[in-house]
Amino acid sequence: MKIQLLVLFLSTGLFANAQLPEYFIDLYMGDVQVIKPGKKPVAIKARMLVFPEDKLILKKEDARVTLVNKEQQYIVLNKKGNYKVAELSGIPRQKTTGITEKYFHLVWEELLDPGQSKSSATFKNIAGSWGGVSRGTCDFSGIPADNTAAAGTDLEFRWPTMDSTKRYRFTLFDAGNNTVLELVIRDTMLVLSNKNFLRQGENMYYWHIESVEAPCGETPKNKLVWLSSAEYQRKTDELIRMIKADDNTHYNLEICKALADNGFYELALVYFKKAIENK
Amino acid sequence: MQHNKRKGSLLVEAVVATGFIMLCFFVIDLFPFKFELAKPIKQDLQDFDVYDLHFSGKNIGRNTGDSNIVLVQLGNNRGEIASQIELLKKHQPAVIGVDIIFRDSSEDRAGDSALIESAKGAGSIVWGSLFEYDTSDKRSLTSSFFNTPDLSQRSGYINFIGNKYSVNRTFTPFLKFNDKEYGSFSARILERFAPDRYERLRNRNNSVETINYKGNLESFTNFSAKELNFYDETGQLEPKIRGKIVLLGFFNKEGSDVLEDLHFTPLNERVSGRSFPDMYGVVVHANIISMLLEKRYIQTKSALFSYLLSVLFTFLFTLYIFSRYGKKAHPSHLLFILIQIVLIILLTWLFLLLFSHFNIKVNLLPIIITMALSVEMIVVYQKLARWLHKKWNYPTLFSKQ
Repeated sequence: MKIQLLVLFLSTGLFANAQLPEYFIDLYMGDVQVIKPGKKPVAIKARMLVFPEDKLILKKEDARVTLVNKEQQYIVLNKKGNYKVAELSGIPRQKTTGITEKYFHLVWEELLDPGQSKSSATFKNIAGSWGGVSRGTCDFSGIPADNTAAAGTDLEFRWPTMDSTKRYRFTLFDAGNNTVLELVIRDTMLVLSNKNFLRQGENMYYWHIESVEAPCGETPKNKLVWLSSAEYQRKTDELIRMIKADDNTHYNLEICKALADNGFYELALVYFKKAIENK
Repeated sequence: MQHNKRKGSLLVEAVVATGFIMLCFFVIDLFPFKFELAKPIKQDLQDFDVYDLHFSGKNIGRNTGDSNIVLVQLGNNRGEIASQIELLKKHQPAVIGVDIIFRDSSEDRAGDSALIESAKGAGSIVWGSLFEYDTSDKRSLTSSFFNTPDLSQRSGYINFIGNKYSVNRTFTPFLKFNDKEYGSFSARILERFAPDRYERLRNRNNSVETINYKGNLESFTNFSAKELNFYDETGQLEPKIRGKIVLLGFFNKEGSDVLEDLHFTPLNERVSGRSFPDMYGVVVHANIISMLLEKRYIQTKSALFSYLLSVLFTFLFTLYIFSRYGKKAHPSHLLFILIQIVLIILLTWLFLLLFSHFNIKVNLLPIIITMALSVEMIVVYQKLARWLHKKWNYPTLFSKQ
């Protein structure tokens, strides 16, 4: 009798579990449909329940749906495609970094700076264009230098500490001299993600830094050419291919010169280092 | 007997040496450090707070939002904003907070009239005002052009007091000037939505509260101006708005961030040398309200508490060093420096864990500086103690060295 009761309890329990909805539709936008097993697709509605065996279809790029699970956690689907509800919980989520990991990473970076030998840092040391104090606030110089060609997702700007200055006004202009970005910062460094400034169809920019406390008026701007990674690769490959030389040192120096003449300063530095190493 | 006596004198001397180190710390603290040499250090330290590590990155409150607060992107002009307010009122939110001020009447007469109509008799709307002070420190509060004494009671200052270019770590719930008390935008909203929580905030009597951030825009239900209309038309809006706090403010969901009303917060992925501001003002307000509603206050310990802790840690470290001197005439100085570095790192980590798990914030600067000074200052103390011993027979552990 006990065994029969247990079998009955388990079977009803499992059956009831299978019927529990996985999510409910919190919000939706655009053309989103749900397919139940053996049925035709139907348009979703707000607060509709979806079950593990259901399938969600986002028919267009602008379609999106927000689902909420039993733990009140949100999942937003905003890419065109078919999604099996049972597989949604397996969608990889952004990794959460613990406080201990973040702290010891910071300690490691600050005390031992393992990235110090990387090219950008070496570039900083050789160029010597920051560190120390600039006497006379209009003595403008910084990195990226004038006519720099750059690519990638992040761009680092640096400038020397200016005398009697606590705040710096950083301005980025487009080719038509329109302000793209204006920031007042206390640091002598600024890292911009290209999503912060990149404008459709624009690849030429000018940047400028001045003291907020003692502005200089009209001062020279540094030209910056922003290329896609593929374009950067193509252009530098073209330049390198054109170089011919008898020995390695000479060859690397010639490449370095060609790259620097065309604004590819960072890569030029890599070849400069190679030339020194070969010597 | 002899052993106990030596132990007692060791303790006494450790107390005296700790007092000496603390004195040195206060003397150093008196220096204004205005010279250029200290500038890069000062600039680096000014906006750095190790506790920001708890919030940095965008993973705080991930996937679990605050369902009490809904953010709505402001319309493009006054007419649109007035229509948004009317649309929201239709769905009976508990409070609508408008995170903007309309300084003067505009050429858009119809828009202005619509706004004035929205303001009339709507007790559930909290309007923004702006706290300002000029170079002579004259303080004032600027309100929208349609302000009335009744509306003043329902408005709160929307700006964050402090340096505009600093990281927004704290907020000022109330301000007193010209013999009058003014409430912040968040406090005014709380007063209407949850009077008990508002009382709690008042009773804390803190002039400044540290913000316990929940997350960025994605941690709150948010609608762009376009989405608001779509969700209204498709009947999805009502359950999201009814009985909730709706904050109307400036933000941009699509495309790149726009610098208007964008602030630096501890959520910024760069802990030092922050580059691009990361959070819209209205989201900062949402974070503050969420913290006050959920009673997730951060207990910032007093300066006195920090100094007492620094005395305690310095004393223990000094005692350890003196005990080594008791065993060996010339213990390794390098070993002390290594221990000192490890101790500073571990102590900072422990306080970081305390903050992360129990929301207790202790100012670490006195602790770290006194610990960092300890070894060198003990060397100075040794010399001073020997000189005092020679001159006035000062009893010291270092008399025979």
